[in-house]
Amino acid sequence: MCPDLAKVEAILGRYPRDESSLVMVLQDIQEEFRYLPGEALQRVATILDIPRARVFSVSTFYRVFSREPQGRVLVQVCKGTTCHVRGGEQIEREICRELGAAVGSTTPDGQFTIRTVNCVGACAMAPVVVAGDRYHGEVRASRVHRILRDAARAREAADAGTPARRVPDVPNLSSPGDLFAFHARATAVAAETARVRVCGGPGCLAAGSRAVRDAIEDAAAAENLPLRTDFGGGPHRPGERLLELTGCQGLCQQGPLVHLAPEDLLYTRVRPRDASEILRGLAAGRAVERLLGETCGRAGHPFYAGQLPLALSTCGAVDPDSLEEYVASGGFLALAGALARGSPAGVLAAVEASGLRGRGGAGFPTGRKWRSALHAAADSGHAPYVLCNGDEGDPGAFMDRAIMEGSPFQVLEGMLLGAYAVGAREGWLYVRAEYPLAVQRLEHAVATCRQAGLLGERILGGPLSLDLRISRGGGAFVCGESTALMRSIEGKAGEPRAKYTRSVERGLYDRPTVLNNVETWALIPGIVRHGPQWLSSHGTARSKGTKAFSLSGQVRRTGLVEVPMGTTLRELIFGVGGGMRDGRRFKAVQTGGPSGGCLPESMLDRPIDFEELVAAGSMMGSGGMIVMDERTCMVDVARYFVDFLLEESCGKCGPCRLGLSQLSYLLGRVTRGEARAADFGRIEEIGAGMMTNSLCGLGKSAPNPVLSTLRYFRKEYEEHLQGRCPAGVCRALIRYEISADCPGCLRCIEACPNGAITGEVKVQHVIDPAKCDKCGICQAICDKYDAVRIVSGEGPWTTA
Amino acid sequence: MDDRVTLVIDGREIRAAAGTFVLGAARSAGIEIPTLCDHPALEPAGACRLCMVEVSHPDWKEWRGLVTSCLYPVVEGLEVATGNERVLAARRQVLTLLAARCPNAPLIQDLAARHGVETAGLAVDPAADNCILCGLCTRVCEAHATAAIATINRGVSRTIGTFADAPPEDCVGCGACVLVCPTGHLADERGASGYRIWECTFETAACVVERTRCLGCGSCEEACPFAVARVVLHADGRRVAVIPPEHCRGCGACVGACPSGAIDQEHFGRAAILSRLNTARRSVFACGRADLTRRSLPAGMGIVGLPCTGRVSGMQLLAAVTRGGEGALVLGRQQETCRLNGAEDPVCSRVERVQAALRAVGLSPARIRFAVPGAGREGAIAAVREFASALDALGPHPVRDAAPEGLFEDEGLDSELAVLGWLSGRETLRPDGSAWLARHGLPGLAPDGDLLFAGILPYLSMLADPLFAPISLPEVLRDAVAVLRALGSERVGVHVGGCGIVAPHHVSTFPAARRVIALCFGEADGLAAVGVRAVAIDRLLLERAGVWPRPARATRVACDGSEEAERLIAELGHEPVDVGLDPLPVGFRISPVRRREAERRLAAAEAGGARTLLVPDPASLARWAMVTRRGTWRSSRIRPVMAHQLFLLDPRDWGRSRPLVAQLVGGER
Repeated sequence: MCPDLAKVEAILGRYPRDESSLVMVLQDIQEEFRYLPGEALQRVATILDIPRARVFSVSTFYRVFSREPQGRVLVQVCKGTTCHVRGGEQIEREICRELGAAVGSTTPDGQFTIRTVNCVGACAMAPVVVAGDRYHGEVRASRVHRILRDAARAREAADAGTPARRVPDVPNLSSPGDLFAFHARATAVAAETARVRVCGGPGCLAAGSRAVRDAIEDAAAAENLPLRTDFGGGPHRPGERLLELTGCQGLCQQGPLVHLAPEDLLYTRVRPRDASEILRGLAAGRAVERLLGETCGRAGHPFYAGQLPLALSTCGAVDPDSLEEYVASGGFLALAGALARGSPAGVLAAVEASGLRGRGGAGFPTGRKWRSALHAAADSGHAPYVLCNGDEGDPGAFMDRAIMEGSPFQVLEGMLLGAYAVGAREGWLYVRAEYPLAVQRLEHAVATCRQAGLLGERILGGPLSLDLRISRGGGAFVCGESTALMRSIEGKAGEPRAKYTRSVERGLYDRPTVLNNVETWALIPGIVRHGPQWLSSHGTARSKGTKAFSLSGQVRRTGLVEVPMGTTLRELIFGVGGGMRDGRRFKAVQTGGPSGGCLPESMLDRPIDFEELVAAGSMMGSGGMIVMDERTCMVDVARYFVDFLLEESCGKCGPCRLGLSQLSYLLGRVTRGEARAADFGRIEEIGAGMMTNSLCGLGKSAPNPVLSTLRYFRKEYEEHLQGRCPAGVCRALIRYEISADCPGCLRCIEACPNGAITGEVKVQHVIDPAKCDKCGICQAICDKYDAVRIVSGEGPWTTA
Repeated sequence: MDDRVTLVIDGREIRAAAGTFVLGAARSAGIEIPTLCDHPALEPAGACRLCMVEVSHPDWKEWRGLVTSCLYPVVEGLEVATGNERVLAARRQVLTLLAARCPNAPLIQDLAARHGVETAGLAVDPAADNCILCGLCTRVCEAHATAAIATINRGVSRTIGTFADAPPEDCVGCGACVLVCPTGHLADERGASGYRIWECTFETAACVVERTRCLGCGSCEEACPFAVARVVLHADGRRVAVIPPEHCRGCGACVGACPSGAIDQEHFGRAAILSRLNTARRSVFACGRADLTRRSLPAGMGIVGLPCTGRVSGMQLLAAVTRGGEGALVLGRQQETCRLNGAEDPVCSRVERVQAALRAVGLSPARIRFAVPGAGREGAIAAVREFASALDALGPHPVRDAAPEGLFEDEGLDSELAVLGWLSGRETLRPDGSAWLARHGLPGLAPDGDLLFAGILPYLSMLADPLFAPISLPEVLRDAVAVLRALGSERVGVHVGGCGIVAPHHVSTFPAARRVIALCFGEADGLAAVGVRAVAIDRLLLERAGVWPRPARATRVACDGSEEAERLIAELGHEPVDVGLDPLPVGFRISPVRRREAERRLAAAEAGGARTLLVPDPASLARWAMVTRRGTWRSSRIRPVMAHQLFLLDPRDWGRSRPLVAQLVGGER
């Protein structure tokens, strides 16, 4: 097969002809051909003047690239932690069985390609499957067949794709005064605007909120109700409503959410068919009772009551694509104020005084980082770069996704202020490939800002000039590490380097570089606008302000939350989160992603704070928080993280690459009941070695999930030595049995792919352990009677 | 500002250059730290993690951290421990994992055993390969070759591989990857078909000796980095170089070094290379490792691809600046990381020799250059660009007329002399030997002094001095100056003119000299042909022979039996031995037959009790010096001399200072 090289040329034509374009070019080629043809790679190597082997190396480093043609429908099974904890592995097996293909391969008819993806960032709806471009949340094995059938049909229907949103007409703002005037106009419009806010956050999208929004628009047209979809654009008609798809409103677990303002009615679990009822209710001035959640609106809602949205102040409240609405909510006032009345030193001083620490996980003081960059810039004579780390790779974390999708302008304003403070002229936003919507929203925001004179030369007529570019990641967790991220922006494989010279001094292209994560940047405008105490008045002595978390797992209210530092884990999980699901018992909470650890109940009263979490054996991380109950096996979780990192380790240094594979081997033995007590010593030894000897933070923190579970849940490890998995997860140690509750409905017999179940109508069915491969379909099918039990160990010990 | 810092390693104060790393500082102090991914020719990578040391930074005294010494910069006041328990524990942890990964790698297993590491309880694959992913192979290929290999995939599935897992088109077979591999995981194969690596075969460009042209001088033996080329003495007295094809690696270093053009190389025939020089205005001599073939070069630049730049001969360099060419760049390429190791130093000195010759004939020596470019693809191209702009700055080539085509058909000393001869006949060039004279301590011209016309002798010396050892051609001139001073010339200066020819425009550079003195009768005749009245030094000796004290002890001097020679010998107080006519041809291409005849003549001289052979002119002296080269088994006890040296002759003076000269010069005063 000879690919159309003209298309390759066209793609190459869009980017500068040097190495920095490599990853972008490969991404476009992958999108165009659904794989990377060898001829195309050769052409790329020639035109970009890179050795062919290096092009190949990069193309095999990032997971988004494939060397074989992909199917027409890409089925992505999320392998995030929450999805894993909530049965993602079973869904994965079921999809493979349904399609008769393995993960990573394509069905013979070329229709489907199955891939796993390390977290799509819709954890609140776990387990998640993305079929084509549709997200499916809370997938059950029994629904897999329908999802795949629909995806195949949808593909045929909508090959045209969705048109990108047009950059709206925005005024050119050539001075701070222009912006203040724009703000005044926009605020006036906002004050008289009533809204229908459909949540477009990751969770609600997975639950189908886009269809809800469209249904409301259609219903309005059908019933001739005044509804507009653009915030700006002329005066409002009386009684007109603004319909917008906002960023994440937080309460993902009860989505799709529709929030009505100014009435403050929060409708939960809205279906498209509810659209006309909602609109009629609005017209009549009454609420649709059956759609209301725990409380009428957000006010007084236990989920929102304990929160303090600072980074998330505009997320979920505005149309993410509307500059005007962002400005109406106070956006860019900080920038205009700093340019009109402030100074770079003033911005830096405010950030320093606020005590802000990096929200990416390690908690380095942001102000100090910026000051180092200023010094490095003075020493080297090069202006620093500003970078935004949007490579939210931690499985089980989606705060940054929500911010980038929900308030992209806020991130840009933060970066503009940062650039002003450190004297940067160029910047990049590095966004992971698994977040296409975030890329789209940010691109739209950057284009809008350029048009409005908020990016480019002499911003608002002042001394600040900044050009921002967006760099898409390639599906590599390690690229969240600062030096690897910089290598990736340079178009190389994302391998970290030793940081004995800090990247603030020698970072991107060996120039001084300020890298902050999305949440950090999003906090900057507030600090500059309202003063340092806006942040520093909250939090603990050493950790100021708030922290956004994505609360997921076996908790009642999953979603996006932001609480003051110092809030205890218990308050967060049992207050905001509403406690455990289905009345189960709390077992552990996982924070910090693969670099963090699992904390037991005894740690729940610890306040959330950078140092406290480290002392407890975990870490803040970027803010993923996965709650686990007694059905979660801690050995399995440890093995899950090790296997996750085994795929994600770059492999450059031995301790990480080899240590992880040994840990995987040893934990695999534990989960199969083959381990001996001495193996635990080996695990600890290897873990300790990895912590001191690995090259980068990924390797150094990789043993944390293992060591923390071994520390707090040693008893559970030891039970595995006896051949028992108390949580009923480790497949080698469990068997399925049908209890006396079985009504004899035959459904499980039909569903069992191995013919392992026998029985007759109205007679208790029996599973033949010899034939059963423990796929768990029977248990998923039997949700009505709950008669299928998992048994582990010798005794009549059951769990369900 | 002092650019050195003082740090303490294992309790010892050590000075190290700022900007270097702890590992280097420790090693320079003799403190050994084990490493697996470090190489002197490469930037440190910090991949193997074996070189961990504990440091205590002066700014954070309470902090003691484990760092990789290969990447940790030296800092004033840094304290380093390379062998405390914490360091050893870290090293053991690293080695445990490596030992489990590579149970079959002796290096790893030895290291593990020495550190008391055991792998019980870990996953060990008894059939595992020996790759530890130190990255040396890919890094050396990127830095010093063509980046034909790279790391493929990531994490556990990371391997070393090639584009699309196919035999790499861009591999040049330098074998650097194999050379640097610490565990012997990468293997190559040298067989009858050539060199095999990465499933590519590189035919060996074997060097082949043309026996009828070989004079057995041993240059090839000295040039060959692998001790493959040897001079063999046959029973019948023939001495011929032998290069067994099965052992030859094909670097071509011997071809570049051969003074008689007797060796040529398969696939890289001399004619083909010389004809390539015709097409490029500016030549870049480079091996495949420079990776220039697919790059866009500055205008007019043409690549002359060679298996190794050690192949570059003086003739090629001269042709590159004569045959319409403006200049030539020779790119070295970190010889210690190439399987054709070691041919770079000779070519570097060859370039210097030709530069000296160019300067002497009046061309700028900047027209040729040897450069070892920086690492990576950009290094080579940057060197080429820089050379191109240097040539631009030099302006147009001063010689516009075309050289006769026959000049460029061959290599070797004769061809080089011919090219230099042609060049020195160009009116736009003004010979200038002052640099060479100064270098060898010879007096320059003084107004109203005597002018000693050096003729071809400086050029022979520039191009091939080691070939005549232990006879030093500048020494011959120094002798002549001494003798002339003894004969009463007070302000004698040496004139370096054309190479083998005297053109009328050279004569115009003669100052108003008192006398022009030639080194031999032949050169006096040559000067006469352009209207310069010159006197041969032999004539001066004959004229004054009777006046001077005779040597304390007469020696027997072999000669061709001509009346002139015998008279000179006798007049200077020695005893002539007739050994027959000189069998050596004009020029420096001496066949084994002629060589054997020369050996016979030397044998006859020895039989006649002579230790000295009188030769008539400088070229002849050089030829006989080649034949009698000392220092190897090829040497002869007979030493060729020119007439003026007879004046100084005392067998005991061989190779030592010349008391007689001092006595004579001093005596006259």
